[in-house]
Amino acid sequence: MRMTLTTWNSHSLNDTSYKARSPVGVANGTSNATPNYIDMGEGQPILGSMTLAGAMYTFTVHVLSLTDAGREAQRDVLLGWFIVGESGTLVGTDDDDTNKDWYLSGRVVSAPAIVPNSYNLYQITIALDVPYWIENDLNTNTWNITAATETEVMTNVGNVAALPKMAITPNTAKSSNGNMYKTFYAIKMSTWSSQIPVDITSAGLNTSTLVGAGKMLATGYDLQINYLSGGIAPRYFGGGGINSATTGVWSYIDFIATPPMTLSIALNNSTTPATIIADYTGNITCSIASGSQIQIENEVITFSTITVDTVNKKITFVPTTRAAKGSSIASHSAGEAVFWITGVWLSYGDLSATAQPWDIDLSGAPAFDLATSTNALWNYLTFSIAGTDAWTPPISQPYMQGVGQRYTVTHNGGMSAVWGVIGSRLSSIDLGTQIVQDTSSYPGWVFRHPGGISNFTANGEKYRSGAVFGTMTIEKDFNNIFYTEASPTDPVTWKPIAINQALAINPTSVAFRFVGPLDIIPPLPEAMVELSDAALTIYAPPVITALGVEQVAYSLNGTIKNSTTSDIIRMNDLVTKTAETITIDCDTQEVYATDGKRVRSALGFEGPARDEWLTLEPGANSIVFADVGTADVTIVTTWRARNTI
Amino acid sequence: MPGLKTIYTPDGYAVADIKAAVTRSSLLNEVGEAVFAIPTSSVKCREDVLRFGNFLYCKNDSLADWVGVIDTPRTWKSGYVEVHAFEVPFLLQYRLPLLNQIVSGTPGERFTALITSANSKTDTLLRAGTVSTAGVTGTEVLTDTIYSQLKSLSTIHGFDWICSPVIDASGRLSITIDWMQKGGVETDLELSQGHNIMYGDTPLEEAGELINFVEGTSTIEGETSAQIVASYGENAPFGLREKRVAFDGITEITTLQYNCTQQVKAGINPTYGTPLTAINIGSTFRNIRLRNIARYRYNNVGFTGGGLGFTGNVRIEGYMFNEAVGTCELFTGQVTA
Repeated sequence: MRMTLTTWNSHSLNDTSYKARSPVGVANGTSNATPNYIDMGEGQPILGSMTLAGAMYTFTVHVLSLTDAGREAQRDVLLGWFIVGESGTLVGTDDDDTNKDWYLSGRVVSAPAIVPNSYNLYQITIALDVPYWIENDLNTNTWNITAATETEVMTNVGNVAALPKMAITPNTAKSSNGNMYKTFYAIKMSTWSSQIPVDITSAGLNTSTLVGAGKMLATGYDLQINYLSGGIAPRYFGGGGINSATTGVWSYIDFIATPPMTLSIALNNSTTPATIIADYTGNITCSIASGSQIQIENEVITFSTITVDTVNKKITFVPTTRAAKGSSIASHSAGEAVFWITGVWLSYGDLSATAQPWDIDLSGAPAFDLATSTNALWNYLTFSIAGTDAWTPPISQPYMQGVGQRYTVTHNGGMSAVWGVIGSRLSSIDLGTQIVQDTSSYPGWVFRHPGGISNFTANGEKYRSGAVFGTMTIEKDFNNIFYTEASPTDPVTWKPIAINQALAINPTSVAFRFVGPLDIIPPLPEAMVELSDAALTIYAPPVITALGVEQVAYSLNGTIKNSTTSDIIRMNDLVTKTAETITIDCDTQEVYATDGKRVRSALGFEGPARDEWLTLEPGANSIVFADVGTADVTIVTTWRARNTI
Repeated sequence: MPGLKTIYTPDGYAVADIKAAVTRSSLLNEVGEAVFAIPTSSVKCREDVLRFGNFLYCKNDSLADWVGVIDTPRTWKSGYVEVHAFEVPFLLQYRLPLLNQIVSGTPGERFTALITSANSKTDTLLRAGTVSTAGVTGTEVLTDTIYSQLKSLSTIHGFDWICSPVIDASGRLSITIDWMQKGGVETDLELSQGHNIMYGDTPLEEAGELINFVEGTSTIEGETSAQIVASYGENAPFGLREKRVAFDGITEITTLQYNCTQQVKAGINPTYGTPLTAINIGSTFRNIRLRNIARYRYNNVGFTGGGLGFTGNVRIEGYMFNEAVGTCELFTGQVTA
C-alpha cells in the first residue's frame, strides 16, 4: 500500500496547513526481530526462534505556511497534537484504493522534530500497538441461514489473517436438536462454598404437566441445568421424581461470600442508570466476577464491571440490562437489600433427547436421599452411593476422620460400596498374656454443610461387650460437644440410639465420634456404635427464587467451520433464545450473551492446533455453519482487514 | 508451535482463553511449573480468570498438553502480572489422608486408594486412569500428605505416574493420572549434539551414591513395637558399599526384601546426568514425552568398553519448554550404556 496520512486523533494532516506522508522505500513500522541462534558446539548454529521487537512507525508532516511565523504557529499546533507518551490513531488512505482508509494505533515516542536541512518538514515516530494497518471501516457480512448446513464466502482484503466477530441471532425456534424452553433460577447463599448440592426447583416443578403438554420427555432426559457460563451441570431428580407434580432437580452450585449490601440510591421502574451503587458492611473478602448479576427484590440486573470503594464502603455496578433473565422491572427504594447471585437456566423441550450421563450413572448424585431431602434438610438413609466415580459427591458424603476402626455394614459387617450404616468400633488390645487399653483411637464420621447445621437427628444402635462403653458424642471438636450417648443398659446386646439434638453454634461440620478406652477385663472388651439414618437441618440454606416465567429457549448445538483453514468452533448446548444474540469475538477470544454474560464453557475447538479461535485468511474463506434443526438464524460477521505496513 | 491456552475453574469449566508465551515444565513423578505474563491492560487480567485454584490448560501441536493449578506467587510488575501454575499433583501436597489410615494391596491398589482419599473431601479433578496391578502386595500406614505417600510408593516400588488432561464431550476438564511400572517407551528419536541438541559445558555427569548392599528395617508400632529386618546385596567392581535404610510402616517381610533389592538395583551404577536442550528439528518435539526412551550419542565423553565415547539410551523424566525461545530442556535418567 502507498499511504497518504489524513488524520491523527481526528486532527487533519492533509489540508491547507499540513501534508503528511508515509516514507516511500523505507522499511517502516515492521517488527524487527532478534534471531535466537542456538549454540550447537562444533555444528553450525541453528535458528531456534525469533524475539520480535516492538514496531515503530516514523512519518513526516509538512507545515505549509509560507511565512516563518505561520510555520512556527503550525509547528506549535503539531507539538500539541503529538505529545510523547500519549496514545492516538493515525489514519491514512491507500493511494491505490482511495475508497479505503486504514489506521495504526500507538503511542508517540518521538515528538515532531525538524528534519535536518529542511525548514518545514517534521518527523514523528509512534510505537505501534500492533504492527499492522487495520482497515478503518468494518467489513460486515449478514448471513441468513435457513437450513441445517449452509456455506458463506467471506473475503479478507488484507494480506494478514483477520479475526472476525460473529453475532449469532436465532430468529425462529429450531425443529429439533435443542431445548425449546428455559426458566431462570436465582440462587444465593451467605457463605463461600464450592459444588454444593442444591435442589434448584425446591421439589416444586410440575413436570407431569410439562410432560402432558408435550414440552418434556417423560424420562426427563431433555431436562438440563445450564450454568450461566455455558456448561451443563449434572442433575439428579428428587422430590416426587420426574413426571410428577413435585419434581426436585438437584445439581451442584458454587457460591461466593459477598458482604451484606443495600441499595444506596433508589431505582425507578423504567430506566437503566449509568451506575448502581450499593453500600456494604463488613469486609470484602471475595471478588465479585465482572459480567455477572445482582438481585434486588425480584428483579435481576446484569452488570459489566464493578468498582469497590473500601474507604466509603460502596460498590458501584455498571448495569447492562435491567429485568434480566426473564424477571420484571420494578422500582426499588434506597436501603433495599442487594444480592450478588449465582443462577442457572433450567431448560427442556428437546423431545429427541437421549439419556444424559447422569441418567445412566448415578454415582455423582448427592449421598443423601433425594426424594425426602430439601435444601434445608439433608436426610440420609444411606451414606454413600456406589459407582465408578464415587468420589464426586464429596461434600454430601460424610468423611472419615480420626484413628480407629469403622464399618459400613451393620453390626461390624465390614465395608461396603453403599454405606448402609456408618459405624465405629473400639476394642482393647490383646497382647496374648494380658489385655491393655487402646488410648489412641477416636474414630469419627464428619458431616458438612457450609450454611451451618442447626440440628442433628439420627437413629442407630450401640453395643458393649464389657462393663465400659466408651464415649459416643456429636461434636464439632473436642471443645464443642453437643450430645453424649448413654452406655447401653445391658452388655452383649445391641440397643437403639435415637438422637435429636440442636447444635447451638450452627457448625459447618459436625462429627459422630467414638472414643475409648475400654476396660481390660477378659474376654477382650469391644464396643460399637452405628447410625442407620441421619438428618441435618441446615441453618442458612441456599435461597432460590424462580424468576420470570418459562421462556422460549434456543440451544445452539453445532459448529462454525472455516473450510479454508479447517478451524472449527463447536457450540455445546449454548442456551439462548430467539431474538437474543450470542457474540463470538475471535479477536479478544470472548463469547458472551446479549447481557454481556460470558459463556465460554459452551465453546469447544476442533481442527488444527492453533493460537486463534478462528481466522479469516487473506482472500476468500468458506465459512460453514452446521446445526441440525436450524430454521432461521442470522449471523452478522464483522472484521477489519489487516495489512503489513 | 501453536496451541490454545485455556483457563478452567476448579470444577473443570472453561472460563477464558489467554494469549501468552508460557514457559512450562513437565516432570515425571514430580510437580512441574508454568509461568506466563498477562498485561494489566488485557481484558483477561481479571480475578475470575487468574484466580488461585483455577487450572491452566496449554495445548501444543508437538509436545504433550499441559495442565496445572494457578497458585502463588503472583507477581505484579510494571504493566503486567506474572502468574505461576503447578502440575496437578501439587494439590496432593495439600490433601491429608485419614491419620494412620491403613491401605493394603498391590502398589496400584494403594495408589487408587490414595487418589480416592485425595478426593474424599473436595474434588481435585484427578482420576485414576490406567493402573498397573503389578508389584508386591503390602500394607502401609498413612501418616503424611497424599503427595508424600504417593512419592514414597513410587520410589520404593519403582512406579511412575503421569498426568494427562482430558476434556469430555461437554467440555469439562478432568485429569487422568496413570500408574505404571518404571520403564519407558522406545522411540526412534536420536539426541545428538549439533543436530537437535544444544552444546553443553557438561554433556555427561556420572554421579550418585554407589551402593551394593542394603539392609532394610521397619518398626511396627503397636503392642510390642517389633522390628523386622531384611537385606540384599550384589557384587560390584568397586567393592562392598553397605547402607541401612528404615522403611517404617512396612509390616511384611516380603515387601521389605523387595524394597532392599530395588535400592541395590538403583544404587549399583552411578546416575548419569545429561543436560540436554533440544530444538524442534524434524519430529524431535513430537517424541518428547515423559518416559519415552531416546538414543543418545556423544563422541568424546564417557566410557564404553573401556574406551572413550558414549552411546546409550536416555529416559525422558522431565522437560521444560520455553515457548518464547523455542527450546525444550530435557531432564533424563536411567542412561544405560
